[in-house]
Amino acid sequence: MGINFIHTADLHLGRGLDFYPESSLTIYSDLLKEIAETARQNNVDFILFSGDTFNNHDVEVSIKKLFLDFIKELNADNIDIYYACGNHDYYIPAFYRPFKREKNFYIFPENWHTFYKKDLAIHGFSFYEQALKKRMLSVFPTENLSKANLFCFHTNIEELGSIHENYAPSSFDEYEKISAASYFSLGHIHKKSEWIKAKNNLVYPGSPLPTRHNETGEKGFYLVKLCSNQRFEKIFSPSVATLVESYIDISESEDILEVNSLIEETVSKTETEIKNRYIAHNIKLTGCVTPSVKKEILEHIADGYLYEAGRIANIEDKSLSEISPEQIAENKGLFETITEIFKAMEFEDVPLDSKVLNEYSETDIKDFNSIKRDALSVLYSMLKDDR
Amino acid sequence: MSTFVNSLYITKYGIFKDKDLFFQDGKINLIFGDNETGKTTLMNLLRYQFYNFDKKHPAKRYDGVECEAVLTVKDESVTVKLSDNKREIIPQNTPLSNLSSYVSEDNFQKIYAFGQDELFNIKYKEIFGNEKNAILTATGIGVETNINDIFKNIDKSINNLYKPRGQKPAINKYISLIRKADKEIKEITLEMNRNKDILMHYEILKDTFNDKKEQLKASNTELGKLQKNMEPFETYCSIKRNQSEAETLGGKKLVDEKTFSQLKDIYNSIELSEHKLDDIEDSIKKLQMEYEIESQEYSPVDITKYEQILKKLQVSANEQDKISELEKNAKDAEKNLNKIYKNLNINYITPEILENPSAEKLININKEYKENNQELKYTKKLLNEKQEQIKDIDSNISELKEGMIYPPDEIEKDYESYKKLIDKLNEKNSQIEKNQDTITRLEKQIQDFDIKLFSLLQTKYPLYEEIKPFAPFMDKADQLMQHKKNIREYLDLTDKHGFSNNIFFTAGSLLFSLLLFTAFSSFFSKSPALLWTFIFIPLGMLADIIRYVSHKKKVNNKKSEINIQNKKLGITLDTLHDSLTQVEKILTNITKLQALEKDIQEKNISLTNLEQIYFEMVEKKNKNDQVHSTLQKIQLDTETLEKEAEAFAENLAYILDKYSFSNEDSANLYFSDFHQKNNKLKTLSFERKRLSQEITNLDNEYKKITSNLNSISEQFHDILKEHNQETISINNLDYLLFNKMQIQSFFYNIHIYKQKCGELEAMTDEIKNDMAEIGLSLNDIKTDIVEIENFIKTVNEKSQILKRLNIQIKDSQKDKHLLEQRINTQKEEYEKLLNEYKLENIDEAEKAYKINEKYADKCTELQTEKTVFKKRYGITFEDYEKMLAQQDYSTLEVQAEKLRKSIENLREEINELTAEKAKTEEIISGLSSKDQLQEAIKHKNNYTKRLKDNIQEYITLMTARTILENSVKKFEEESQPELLNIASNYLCEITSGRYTRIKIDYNNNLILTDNEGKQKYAFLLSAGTKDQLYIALRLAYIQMIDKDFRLPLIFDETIINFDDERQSSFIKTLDKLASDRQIIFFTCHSFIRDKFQKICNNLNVQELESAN
Repeated sequence: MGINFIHTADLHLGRGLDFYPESSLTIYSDLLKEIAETARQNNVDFILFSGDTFNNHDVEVSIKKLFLDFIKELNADNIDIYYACGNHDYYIPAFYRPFKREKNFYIFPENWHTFYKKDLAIHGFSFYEQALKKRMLSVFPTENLSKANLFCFHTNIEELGSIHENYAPSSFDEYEKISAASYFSLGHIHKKSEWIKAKNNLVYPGSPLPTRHNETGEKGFYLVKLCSNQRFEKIFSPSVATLVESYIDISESEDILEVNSLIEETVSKTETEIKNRYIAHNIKLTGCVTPSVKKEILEHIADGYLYEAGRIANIEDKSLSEISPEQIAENKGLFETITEIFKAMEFEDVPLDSKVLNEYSETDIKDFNSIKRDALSVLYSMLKDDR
Repeated sequence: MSTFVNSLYITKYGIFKDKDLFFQDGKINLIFGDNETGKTTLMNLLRYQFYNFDKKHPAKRYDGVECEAVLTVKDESVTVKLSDNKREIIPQNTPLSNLSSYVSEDNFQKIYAFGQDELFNIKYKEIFGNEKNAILTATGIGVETNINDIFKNIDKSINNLYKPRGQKPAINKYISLIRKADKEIKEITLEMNRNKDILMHYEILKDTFNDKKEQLKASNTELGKLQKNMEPFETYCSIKRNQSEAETLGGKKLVDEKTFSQLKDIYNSIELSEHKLDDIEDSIKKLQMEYEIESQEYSPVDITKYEQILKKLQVSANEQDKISELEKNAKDAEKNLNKIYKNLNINYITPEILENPSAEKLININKEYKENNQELKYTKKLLNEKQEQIKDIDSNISELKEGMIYPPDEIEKDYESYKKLIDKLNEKNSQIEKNQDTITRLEKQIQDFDIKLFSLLQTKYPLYEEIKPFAPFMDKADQLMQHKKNIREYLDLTDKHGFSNNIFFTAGSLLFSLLLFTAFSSFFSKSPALLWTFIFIPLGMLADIIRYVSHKKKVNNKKSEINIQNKKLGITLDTLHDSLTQVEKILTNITKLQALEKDIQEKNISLTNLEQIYFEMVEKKNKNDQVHSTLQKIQLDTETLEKEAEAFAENLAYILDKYSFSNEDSANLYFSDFHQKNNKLKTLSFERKRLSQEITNLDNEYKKITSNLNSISEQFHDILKEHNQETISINNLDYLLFNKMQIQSFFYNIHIYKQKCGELEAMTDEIKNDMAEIGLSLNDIKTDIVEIENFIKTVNEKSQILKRLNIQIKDSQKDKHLLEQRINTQKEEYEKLLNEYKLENIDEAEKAYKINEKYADKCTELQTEKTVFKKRYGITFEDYEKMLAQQDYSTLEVQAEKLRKSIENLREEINELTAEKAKTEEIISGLSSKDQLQEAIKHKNNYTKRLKDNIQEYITLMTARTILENSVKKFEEESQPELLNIASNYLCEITSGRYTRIKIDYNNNLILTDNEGKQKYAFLLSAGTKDQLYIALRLAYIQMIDKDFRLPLIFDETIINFDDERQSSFIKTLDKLASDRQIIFFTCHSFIRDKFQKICNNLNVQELESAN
């Protein structure tokens, strides 16, 4: 008889989902309900949480209660929970005490531990501090390997590029050394991703919710089945919320009203096509527009007018001015001088107040070249009144 | 074309009455007069001449202005009459009517006609504001676009986004909101920490509650245990009673059921065995009699031999059946083998060849052979295809080469040269054509030009220029002649008879007399000389006086006549000598003018249009010269181009000739066709080369495969030889291997058949021998089998009957013996049992048995009770008894009571804790219903996002502003308006080189650069320099803007703040300017007038007389 389970990670319960108008608590509640419902409908035996389930230990009691109710609800259906703590929700006894009271809640300790469910061995460990530099996989006691093996832990795989030495680093080599065909239910990377190393499946289900405004793409969790031939088959189950990234070509727009209409159309069309309960949009404006439209976009992103077009989390103006600096220079005279100054302009040349500079350093606006280009468009629009 | 004032006649205005003023063009008209001589009034009147009046016009403030001015506006004479607050222009439609659209009255007053006070009354920005914008417009900025407005707009947007202070700008607002949100988050966190205490309390409460519950559970368990120990006590007592009764019964003579039944059974068995023994003895006797009868009828035979023979016969029969089947198979196999041999074209196959390892080798060889063979076929096919393709290509190449008179490479080279030549030739021709067009166009531009006339005018015009001012006097020549005569007469009169002349005459006479006297006195005596002296002097004087008096009236009349005439002729010189000189000068010039007029009349030119015609001709000549120069250059270019074209055409002709092309069209056609063919040829050649290479490769491949096949074939034949196999063609190897299994099965079938035949023959011989031994002979196996079977059956039946009877007798005897033994044993056992229980007989045993039954029932009852006891109480009766031995029942009762009380207390405590827990849970659920922190964080994040967007806009605008500011600065540095350049030149001139450059920043602030390169803002300059700056700006503006009307420039003082040197410089500048436009300068300072007179070549000074 096979084993079914759900694999999820990086829920970051308690993080403010500022891109949805609904209360974050409501969304988190709906997410947990959906996981529970999926678990029931598919007769799963247990659910794996591979770290960072909570955003931090200071989450409000309401969030903890949600999770506690979730555990209790699953207990009624004899569904177990295997819980690995991540860097955000590392183990603190007081924090986990209410959950540990529930008999279907199994939390992994600091060192490798193996729980057994039917014929399946579930290996895992938890973060006991925010930083865990130890290479845990290299010290895995291979004698614990069973016929069928499942791993559940929070880790950063070095080959993925980011240098996160504090997050229980691991490497593909280490996974390849695990001889048994195993399913590694991992946490830490917020984007759904998977690899096969030797006989092993390495799976990051990603966050089931967009926890930051740039986390677009498919969001959900895995429904996994251990078949009789010791192979793991998995289905991705989309979650309640999504953050849709849309690229809108605004080349034909002659004014901000047309840009706004295009955003409205895209938002409306996307919402018809996507069935998630909570939808927010990440809009990226592309194409070539007149400098005056560029100027208007800049103004109306700042004053929030364009955000009124729908449930928009972020609007990024990536459009280009249809008049290049070289074309501006062709106007000769002052325009030639403007283009020369524009080209030589550095960020340090802009006389900014220290207060603004402080605030600027806190933001992720880093591309001064694009600011410069926008500035040139604004200027050109004002000088030429290209409307 | 210029505009100037000729004359102004004031009938009445202000202090003026019948005042007649004459102005000259091309000169500085200096109006000199003391204060209150009407200079300002005059300037205002001059201003009013040029513009219409409206209701608010200042001229209307002067009642009764009546004057008439004669102006020349763009060479048209215009009379302007001002009277009754009206302005009348005669004729009506003159360029003067359009003046206001050219220069506004306001600007005229500020820029053209201004006084010292008004020098600062003008905002210089207005002077060239439009001009600056015009320059910017030329650089692509909209006409309405004002850089300052753009700065203002950007600044407004920037200020809306951020200010170092204040709450309103977006960035300030969001920073403030984020701070508020942070504060809120902090507060919520604090509250959460407080809530944590409640939660902690709840946790403790929960733990206590759970502990109590555990305690209760433990107490209940303990009480349960106690109650469990107490509960069986009653049952225990009852069992104990029954146990006592059982013990009483157990003390009597007892025989258990088993023993009693054993005794009873033995007793009955002994009786039964004794009856049986009698029956057996009778039976033995009967059987012995029957055996004797049967044994007399039977003779014994060794049946085993018969049975062996029968078995062998049966096997033989069976084998015979099988062999017929094998025979059939063997025949089929031989038949099939022959077919295969035939197909392989051989007579036999050595079976070993089809067995391993040779079979394996053959399979490999076959595989290799087939592969190579297939490859060979494929290579052959490819080779054929490629050769066919080469043939096709060769045929195509031949077709394409048909008609090519030179090798394709040479033609291609020629074609390239041809194309280049054509392109170059076309290019040159196009350039030549273009140049010729330009020449035609330029030639059309050359205007008709009378060179002789121009030479004449060139000679005459300087003279005319010189004597031009005297032209107005030409029609007054007679008057002038008369006037000259009058003056001369007057002078003659005054010279001859004037007092002074008389005195000089007298003095001269006296001196002469004195000299004469001195000469005579040396000859004669001294006295007559003295006499003569005293006589001649008074006489001379008297004569003078008489003459003077007699002409006095005549002279006065003449003078009066001359003055009137002077006035009429506009001669205002101080002395009559000067007047005479001027009149003579006029007359001389009139003569020159008349001579000039006569000279030019032949060419239909009058003095009035001489200047216009001359300048028109100069302009025309300049233009023509310019065109000629351009023409010359272009013609030179064209010649070079033509030479180049000729060289190209020659080369082109060579190519056309080489191919005998009649014209370029046929060349184009041929080359175009060639180009296509050559491209195809190249492609085909390349393709052919590729194919040849492929064929060579394929050929090599083919040879290689053939060699492989030979080698494989040799290997095959070696194997055949090794196994003495007749030669088989390698082509049949596949067939052989394909049928290998079958062949092997055929061999096997034949072999098996032969083997079985041998075996059956041996078996038949053996059976014959066996049968002979017992006197039988083998006839038909099947019949022999039936007979022997019947025989054996009969013998066996008899033998069985005897055997059975013998066994029955033996068995009966054995039974009799056993029965006797058993009767004895049972009797012994019976006695033993009676003795054991001390019983007399079976009856006494029966009584003891019944008592024992009662005792057993009691014991069973007791046991059942104990079992029930264990089942009911979970403890054995014996254990319970042991426990009671250790712990008294009363002690248990005391303990239980204690526990009950403790449980009651725990329940009460749990109830209390439940209530408190519920209460705390309620509080917590109140807390749980909020997610303020989430929302506060959410708000903060939103504000941060908004802040980011606003910062992005702010930085973008700041960047835009910086770019604009830096660009304008740089642009100003590098591209100061022309106006400022001109003004700079004027200022440099006026300030005698002290200041070299005027610049302007983007706020239109003027900056001056001095000769040391130092810069100074205009508002920091001294009053005089500032005046000079503003005048320089005006002059520059006028020079730049006013090229059509060339309006007069009117200054009222304006140079009073200048130092001596700069005044001179300025006057020099004006003097230069005067050649271009009329200048009217009012001053009350005689030293200024003197300076003008000293410096200026062309000066018309008019003095205003004091009203007094």
